[in-house]
Amino acid sequence: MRHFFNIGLVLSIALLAIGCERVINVDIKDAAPRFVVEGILTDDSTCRVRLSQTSNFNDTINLRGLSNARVTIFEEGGAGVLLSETSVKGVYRAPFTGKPGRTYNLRVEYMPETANSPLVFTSTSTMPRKVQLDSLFVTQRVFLGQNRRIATIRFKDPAALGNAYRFVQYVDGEEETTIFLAKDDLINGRTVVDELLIFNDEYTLNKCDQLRVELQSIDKAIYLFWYSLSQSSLGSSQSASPGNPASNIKGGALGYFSAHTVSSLNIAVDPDSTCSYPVD
Amino acid sequence: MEKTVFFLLFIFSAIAATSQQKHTLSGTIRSQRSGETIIGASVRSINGTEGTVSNEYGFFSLTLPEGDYEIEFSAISFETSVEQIKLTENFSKNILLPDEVKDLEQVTVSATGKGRTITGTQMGVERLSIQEVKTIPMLLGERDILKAIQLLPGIKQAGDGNSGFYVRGGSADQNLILLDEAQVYNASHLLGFFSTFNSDAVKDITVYKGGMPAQYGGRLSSVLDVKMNEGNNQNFELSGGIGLISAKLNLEGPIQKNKSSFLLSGRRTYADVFVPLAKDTAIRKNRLYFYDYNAKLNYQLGKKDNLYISGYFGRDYLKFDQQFGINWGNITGTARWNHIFNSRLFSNTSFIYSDFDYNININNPNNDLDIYSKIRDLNLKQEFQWYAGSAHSMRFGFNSTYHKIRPGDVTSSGTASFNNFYLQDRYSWENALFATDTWKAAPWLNLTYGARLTSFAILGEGDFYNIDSDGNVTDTLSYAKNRLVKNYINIEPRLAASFILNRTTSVKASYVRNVQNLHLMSNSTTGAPTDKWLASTNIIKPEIADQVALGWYKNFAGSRYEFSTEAYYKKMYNQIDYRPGADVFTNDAIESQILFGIGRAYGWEVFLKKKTGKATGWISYTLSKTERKIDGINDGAWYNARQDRTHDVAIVFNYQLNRKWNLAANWIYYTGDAVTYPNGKYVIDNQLVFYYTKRNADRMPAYHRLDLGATWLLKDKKKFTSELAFSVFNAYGRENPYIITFGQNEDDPSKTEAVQTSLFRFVPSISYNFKFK
Repeated sequence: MRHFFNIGLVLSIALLAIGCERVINVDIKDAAPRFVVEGILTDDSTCRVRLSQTSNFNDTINLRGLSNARVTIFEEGGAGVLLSETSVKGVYRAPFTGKPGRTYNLRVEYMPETANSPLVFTSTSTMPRKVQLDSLFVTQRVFLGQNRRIATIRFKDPAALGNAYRFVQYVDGEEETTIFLAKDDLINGRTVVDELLIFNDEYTLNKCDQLRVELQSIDKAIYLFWYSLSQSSLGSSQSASPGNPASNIKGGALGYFSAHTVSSLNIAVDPDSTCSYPVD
Repeated sequence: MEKTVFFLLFIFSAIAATSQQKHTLSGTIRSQRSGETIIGASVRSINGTEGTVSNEYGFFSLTLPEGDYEIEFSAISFETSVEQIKLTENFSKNILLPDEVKDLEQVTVSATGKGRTITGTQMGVERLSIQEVKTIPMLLGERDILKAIQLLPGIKQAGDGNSGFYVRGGSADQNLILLDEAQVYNASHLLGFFSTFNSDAVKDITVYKGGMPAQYGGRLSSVLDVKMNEGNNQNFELSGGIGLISAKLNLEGPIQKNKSSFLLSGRRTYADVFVPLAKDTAIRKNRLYFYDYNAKLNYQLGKKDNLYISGYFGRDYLKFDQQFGINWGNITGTARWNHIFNSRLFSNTSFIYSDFDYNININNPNNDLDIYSKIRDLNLKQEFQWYAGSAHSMRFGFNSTYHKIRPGDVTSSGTASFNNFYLQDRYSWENALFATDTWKAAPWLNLTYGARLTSFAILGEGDFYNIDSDGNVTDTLSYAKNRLVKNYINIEPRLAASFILNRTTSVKASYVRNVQNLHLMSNSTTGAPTDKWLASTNIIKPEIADQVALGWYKNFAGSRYEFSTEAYYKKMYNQIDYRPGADVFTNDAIESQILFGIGRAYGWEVFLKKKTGKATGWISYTLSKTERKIDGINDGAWYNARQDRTHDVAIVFNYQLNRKWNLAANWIYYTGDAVTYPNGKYVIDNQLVFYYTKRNADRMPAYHRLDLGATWLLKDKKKFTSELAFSVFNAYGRENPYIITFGQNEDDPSKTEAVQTSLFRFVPSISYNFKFK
């Protein structure tokens, strides 16, 4: 719920309202590509790893997937699985489901064309206990000077301290990329009502939208990854010190490996007879 | 410690013994019109070379051999006065200087005595008179002393239209900002666009960039000493102004003529007054304004005692959407007692209160939350100035400050999603002893040597932590109330010398060490009221800076022009920065969120000023480098500090066209800030993410702008004056980048682009000022 009192964001939006914007040419120095690992293991049978490489700022391709990697996930003291590459380049999957409370080890081996020995990236993540999303509704209120519809969730934080969450909002099946985070240092043990505020002057939910919100229970390292990513890696210079997010991948790659639980709810936004939805 | 005191006493008595054949002329210099004491007035023997300047309370003491003298008293904006004095015994005389008569044929905008002096040892100092500040065109016509000092060499503006400043490679929190000796923790209004100082209430501004005198301490890079007006003790005066964004009113006058006076000054912005006119109901309920009040009382209690009581109270309010509000402000109070023990010994005792707090309030249909944070100082300061003889003058004393920091209280009503949460209050007691002697060692050599001994005691109650190199807490140490956690003792030498080459030329050198025990953690580029003040802890060590400087000073064309150049090198230790992704909001073990390192800064400053005539002004140029090296940032290698700017130029020009019209212009140019641009990109969870390699290795585009101003004197009568002031900020409309953001092109997501946001272009203003007297 950090965004809830993000004074910097509110102030900078107020300031930018009076500013004038222009696309400029800046002298970007390209760096040697770096590997990126994005690993996800959930309790609802998602087991997916993407291996990719950074591209240059002016490239038209943002995502460079890498094939022919050997990707494994093992449960500590338990079974493991070899992930196989899918039709999407660089994406590896396996039919494997994580369990709350267990720790998982990721291992990615990749042999670059020019190298003699494979590069190895490893990571460890513990799947936290599951927290359910209790309800999802829409709040209508003035935000950033306009009346908007805002997705609002309710969940109960467990009594023990140390829970962290990421919420993902989907509208008509499409992911909204704002990173919503919460940790329980201020909300421990409470029934929490949280608005998913989007600090974009033009954004609002619309009547009839099909809204889905996913609550992920994430571990501390992953919270730090998403938090530092949202603070300093998205290209906004509100942050005084842009940088790469705090990664839990060992071996020199960017990215993260997250074992998390998922709880999600769907609603239609203020539906009435004028809304029409495709039949499944 | 005792030994030091004895040693000092021994030196003092030895000095006193050698000067028995001489007598002392002393007194207080005041304005004849208002009775205000005059700071930095020059007192000099016309037939000899002996001279002195009045101190910050207008007091002077000059010791001369027995004889007849013609003594000249002069100060900026005042007529010079010459007194015949037969010195056969110690002699006390109070001097009243009449206001300067402005004769158009020989307009003297400035006089001698102020600013840099050729002979004095003080270097790295800049003084501005309020007269000079008044004519400089400023954003929205709001006269601002903090923006005026940014036009001086070695002092850089923190951002477009911003009142924050960087001095010789220091960061914004490394400036000690004093208002009547009280520390102002947040010297800005409206997110930095205006300073807390109402220029109508200000009498004198002095900035020390280096060679800080020993009576100042606590910040690494500069001292900005602002003195408030005392109030006219002769006549009542009511003055005021109405500008585009604010209105000001200032009332002063005698309580008892010649004896006591008061001053009340207030300012309020009124952009919000127009908000209800907005069509949009949502906008109508927004709030954005500030106000500040200055008040001062002073009493002359007999011939030897003066009492001053002054206060400042300012507050900003911001409210959006009826749901998000923040307000913040400073309160300072100073009570001072001057006592003249005798013609050579002057004492000042001050009791100072300083407070900064902010309050964030969130109240929406689903949640409510209140966040409160505060820093408060109680400070006792005793200072003696001893004019020991014709060759020595000394200052010594002590300073004792109790700091209380309340980092953050989070509260909410029972129904909300939040638990109440209180970060631990932090207590510390800062003490300093200082002594310094200015010695006229030879006609060609003046020396100032002294030191400041500081102790910073961190006190309980509270938990303190040990952490490992990854920032994990390994141990928690609990301390009871008032138990000593850690005491940092530092000695800060303050040394300076001036070598007088001839009457108009000198060379000066100085070395100074400064120590800072309160640190401001800022996560944003602009600085916000919610930036966090931290006291040193068992792990956060005092910041230390050593600075050496060398300068050459020259007056020419009969002192109409003044030229100076200084070079400096500064090394900084125990510098602090946030860890990537630091979360300081709810973390008691703040040390787990920060990183430590060192810094260095060096540069060369050139300053040429034309002080008199119809056309006045100055050119200042700075060539400099500022770097930081912090473990855990930029792979531990040196990197540019954000405020590293290679070139920095300011040209300030003022022209008195005729009795009615004054024209002004200034032009500023500086190398763009050091920033971090991305070096690549990748995708995480369907979102474009940027890849960074080196910290601050890139540059914003260069900043430059021209401001124009004109002042039209409407009425200039004995009882009433009025004027209209016009200005245009950024007159040729340069789009100076305020920030640069990177992202995908909205129409073509395969394209990545850089977008520059610029704020102020062609900003005109008009304001009306008046004075009844």
